[in-house]
Amino acid sequence: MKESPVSTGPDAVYLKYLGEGTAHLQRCEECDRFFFPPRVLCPHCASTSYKWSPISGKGTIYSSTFVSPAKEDGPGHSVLIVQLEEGPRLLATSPDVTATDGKIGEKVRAVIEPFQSGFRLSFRIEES
Amino acid sequence: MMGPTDLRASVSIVGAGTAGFGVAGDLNSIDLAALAAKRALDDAGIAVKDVDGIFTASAYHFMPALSMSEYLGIRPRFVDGTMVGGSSFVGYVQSAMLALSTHQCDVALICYGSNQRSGKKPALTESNLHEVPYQPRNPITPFALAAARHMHEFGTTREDLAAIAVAARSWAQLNPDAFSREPLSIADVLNSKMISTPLSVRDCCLVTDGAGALVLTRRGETSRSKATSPVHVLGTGLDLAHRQISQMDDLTTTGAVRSGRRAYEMAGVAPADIDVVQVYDAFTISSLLFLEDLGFCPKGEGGRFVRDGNIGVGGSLPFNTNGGGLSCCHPGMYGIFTLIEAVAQLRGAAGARQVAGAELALCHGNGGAFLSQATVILGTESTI
Repeated sequence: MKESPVSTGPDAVYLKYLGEGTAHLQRCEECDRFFFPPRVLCPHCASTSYKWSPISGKGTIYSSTFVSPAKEDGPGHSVLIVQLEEGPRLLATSPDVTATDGKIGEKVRAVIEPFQSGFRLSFRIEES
Repeated sequence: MMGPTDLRASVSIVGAGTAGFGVAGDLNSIDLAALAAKRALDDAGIAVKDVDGIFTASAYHFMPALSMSEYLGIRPRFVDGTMVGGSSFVGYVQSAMLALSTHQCDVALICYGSNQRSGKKPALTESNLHEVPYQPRNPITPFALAAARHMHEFGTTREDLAAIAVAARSWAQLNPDAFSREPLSIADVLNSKMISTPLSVRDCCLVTDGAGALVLTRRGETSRSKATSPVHVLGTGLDLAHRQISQMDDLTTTGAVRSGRRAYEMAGVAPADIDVVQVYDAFTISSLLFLEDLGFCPKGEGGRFVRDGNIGVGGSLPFNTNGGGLSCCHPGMYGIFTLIEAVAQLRGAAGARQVAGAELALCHGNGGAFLSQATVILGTESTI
């Protein structure tokens, strides 16, 4: 039986791994570099040969912001750009980043958490 | 083979117009753009029917160049409907220059209108699968990420950013058309509602209605225009950097470095030569990064530069002299208004905010969260 093309597209594969509890990114088989967001060719060398490879989940907070709650008594939430140790950067969140402490430059590690109908990456500050 | 410098001063802005600044009531985006277009063409002394090149984008219309052309009753032979956010309209000066100088059209109309404030319609945009789960408050959060990184790397403060909003307001107070003219202090900005740290509501541009239009022809084709003081296009430059803020290679350096360099090279001028600067200030951090990236102060020193009062009324660098997107108007995409204010300044028609003897102006448009950049350098007759 032929698989639906929708379920094998790069985005779908990324989300499938996340749903299974592991974060995988594409790694180019020509230039060996990781890339994200998912796509059908390497943005560094344009090769279409890649492998889905597990990542360590380790990274550094490149920048962060705390978004105020829409309603006065709401919790608000952080939005981060995390630099993964494998190279790519991605948007993320962290319960450890607050309105008064952005933690830019600090080392973090990913936790996969359920969010709405899917999953997302939340990062915890690594104890040094 | 022609190169960019051969195009220097090949075309001129011969007409400019605006409409519906602030609150436009029942007029929709196309009504507003058409009014601005009519005023710009009247200013140029050119009939609407003579427009044969159209350059426009919209957040509300799927095929805005067609909607606009049908509305105006014209049948253009050249179109640029490129959509790279608010930088589009500054970028159109480059494509209009190419089209005019190769006789693909004779009269180029750049126009834009939006009833964003009154219409309250959602913009046509797509959400990103890999960003939605993190709930950025767009468009503020991406700019906040850039601001936070600049503060981290260079020690820039919220007070520095606030100084930019205060400087913009000082110019707006000299502009009868500006939307926000009441006094604004550093403390007012710091104490205003926090939206996405470190940006508070007074670090953000206005939400207004408004429209602007420009008419360009080949330089010296005065038979097409009765404009007494055409403004000449001396240099243009573009840069397309990324689509999502997480993919910006350096959050503290924008593509304005590249677009600016291209424009300066074509124009044969340097930052120190520029008399008046107009940039797309969607947020205070936008002005800070563009001051650095366009060469008006060294990288990392934007905070000190604005803190020292250089960009307010009476400062060393006349900057966003209409009040900018922060205090004059911001109808969804601001880019075209950088050009319209520069034309007013170079014509000596800017009233109480006129910069004495302004001959060279730099206009800079930004698209999205620093994703695309367009720079244009304009000059008076004496600069050719």
